[in-house]
Amino acid sequence: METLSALFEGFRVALTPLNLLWALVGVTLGTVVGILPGIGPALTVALLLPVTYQLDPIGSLIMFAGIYYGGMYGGSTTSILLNTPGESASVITALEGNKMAQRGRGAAALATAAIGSFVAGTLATLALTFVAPVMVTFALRFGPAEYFALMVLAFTAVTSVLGSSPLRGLTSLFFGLGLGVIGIDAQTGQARYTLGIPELFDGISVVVVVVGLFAVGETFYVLSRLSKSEGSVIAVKGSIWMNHNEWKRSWPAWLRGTFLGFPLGTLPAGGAEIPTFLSYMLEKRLSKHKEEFGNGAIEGVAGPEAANNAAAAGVLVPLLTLGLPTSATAAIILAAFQQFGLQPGPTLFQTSPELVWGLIASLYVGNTMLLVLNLPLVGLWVRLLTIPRPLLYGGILLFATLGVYSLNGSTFDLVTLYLIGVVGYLMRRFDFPVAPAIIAMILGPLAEQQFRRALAISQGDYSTFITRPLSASLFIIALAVIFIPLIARWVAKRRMR
Amino acid sequence: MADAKICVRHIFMAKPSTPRVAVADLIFSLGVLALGVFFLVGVFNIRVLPSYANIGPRFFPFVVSLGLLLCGFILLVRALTGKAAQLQQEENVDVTAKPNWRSLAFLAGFLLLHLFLIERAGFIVASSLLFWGVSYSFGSRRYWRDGIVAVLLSALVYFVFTRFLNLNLPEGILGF
Repeated sequence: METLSALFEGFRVALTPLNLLWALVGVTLGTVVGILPGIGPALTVALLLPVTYQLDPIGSLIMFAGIYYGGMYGGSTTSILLNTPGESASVITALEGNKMAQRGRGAAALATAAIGSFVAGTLATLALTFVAPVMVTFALRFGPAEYFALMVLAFTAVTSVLGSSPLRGLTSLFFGLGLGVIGIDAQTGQARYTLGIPELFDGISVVVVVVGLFAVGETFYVLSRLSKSEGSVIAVKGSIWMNHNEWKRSWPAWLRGTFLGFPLGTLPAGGAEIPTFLSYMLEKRLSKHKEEFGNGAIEGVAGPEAANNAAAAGVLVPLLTLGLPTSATAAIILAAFQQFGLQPGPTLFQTSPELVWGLIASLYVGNTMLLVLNLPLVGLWVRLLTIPRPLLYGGILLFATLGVYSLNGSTFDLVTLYLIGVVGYLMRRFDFPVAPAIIAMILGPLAEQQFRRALAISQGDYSTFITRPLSASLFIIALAVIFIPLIARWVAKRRMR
Repeated sequence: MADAKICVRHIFMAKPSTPRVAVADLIFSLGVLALGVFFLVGVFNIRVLPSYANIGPRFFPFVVSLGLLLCGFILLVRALTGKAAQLQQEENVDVTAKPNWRSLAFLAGFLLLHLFLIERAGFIVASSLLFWGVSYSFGSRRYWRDGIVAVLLSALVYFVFTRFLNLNLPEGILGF
């Protein structure tokens, strides 16, 4: 009951005209950047951070959440019509979705993706609404040791899940942790790695790192090996409505995708990639039309798209209740909270309920807006795909330099941006995942803070991390997350010989 | 994406890798090691007050440097045994293509020009040139179209940011 009245209060915040406008701006932007290659929700939120600095926190966060959800919708459109996913969580959708489009059922694929995303997004937001308060009461008992253990778990999970090997994830992670260490140490006031440069005293801005690794690194990389052919967009023909059979096959897939996506999204497992993949495998196994898989089976679009959106809501559970980001976009939304002097976590539910619940309520609103934006207007979004590549990347760099320059109005930030851009290029060239670096850079300083707090409480006794049962079990899980895949890989390798 | 890649990797792992040194990967691993050394050396430049001896500002940087050194070392060994990284599959990227250094040099040149011009000639001039230059580097040869789009977009952004969002951008030689 308490939850319902809190949610009701949240809707009063989310439904004010101004906040509705922020949500609309957010979901529209999210759809656009989800469709465009080279730019995604994480980069967009980062670019908007300097702009929203002086705006109202609730409105800005509602907009960011809209971008996050919208990016999930937009990504599916390119997967289906162009066979090039605009966003990593939509890779699986391309498998069947593009085949459906080639067979002339592109409209049905778009419809099942959009409606499935809506169904899953709404159900998962509902789950978020009721799971979050439970998590909060649980999290209130956490001390610094538990928080530190939880963050280590997030680090290990992210490194072993993202990228092609744990070694590559770990390298990226330590690079990000290193970036986070630069600046004046908050607890002792000592300069660390500032090289005597005053601009580095406040540390390197998250915006510079995210824009450098994503926008600049990506542009360098694409330009270095630009493919000669631009993909061809398949025109959407026929009715946008699914026929009776397609509805019948979509429903169960949507629900299964939701039940798979939400719980997996709440775990620190790097966002939506794994749930979409698992949903695809599940649908393939359960389908009565196995022969259609690989030739455009609608379940193969419906399930993963639902899983993808449910996972997006799931990711918000640890972010809002524990302050723990498990995907790159979530990490940047955490940075957005910090920009407004807010720290997501159990106490935020008590100190600013109108903000947290307003944000949660706005997710329902945003999902509904996205359904309207994506079903009838999909033809409009598809035209974005006709923007010539040279102009697209020109625009990306224009906005990248603008966002970074407007942080402090200093060219020092631009120089840092280009250096980090070179690192971003090298990471792609040598196959290192970018997301662990971003999560580590944002979460690292918080982890260090909790680590030192825990040691201050235990008066320097390191055993505090393993003598507290909850913290000890989290550390064991963290170790398992790293070593089980390694062992599994080793066993698989031996079998193959 | 990650999973698809892992699957692919498992298939390829069965092939014996050529025992030649992967030169590019070797240089990259040395870079990671150098970064580790940088962080390790820096640890000793962080001043520690006696009261914080145990839980001071040095511990985390130390962990970071050890982590980078360890990862760099494993990468070095892998590179020496000839295990080269595969390029990341991405939209618009042809992983089999030879790197196009000429285009990259153009792009780098225009980025530096933008850096030089933004406070001297102002945002609109610098950004228009950057946009045009990026389009040129990406192979566009429709100079007039690109130029018009560049100026219109830069001007639009400039006015929205300075007039509506109250952000300061250098006006430069244009004087508005």
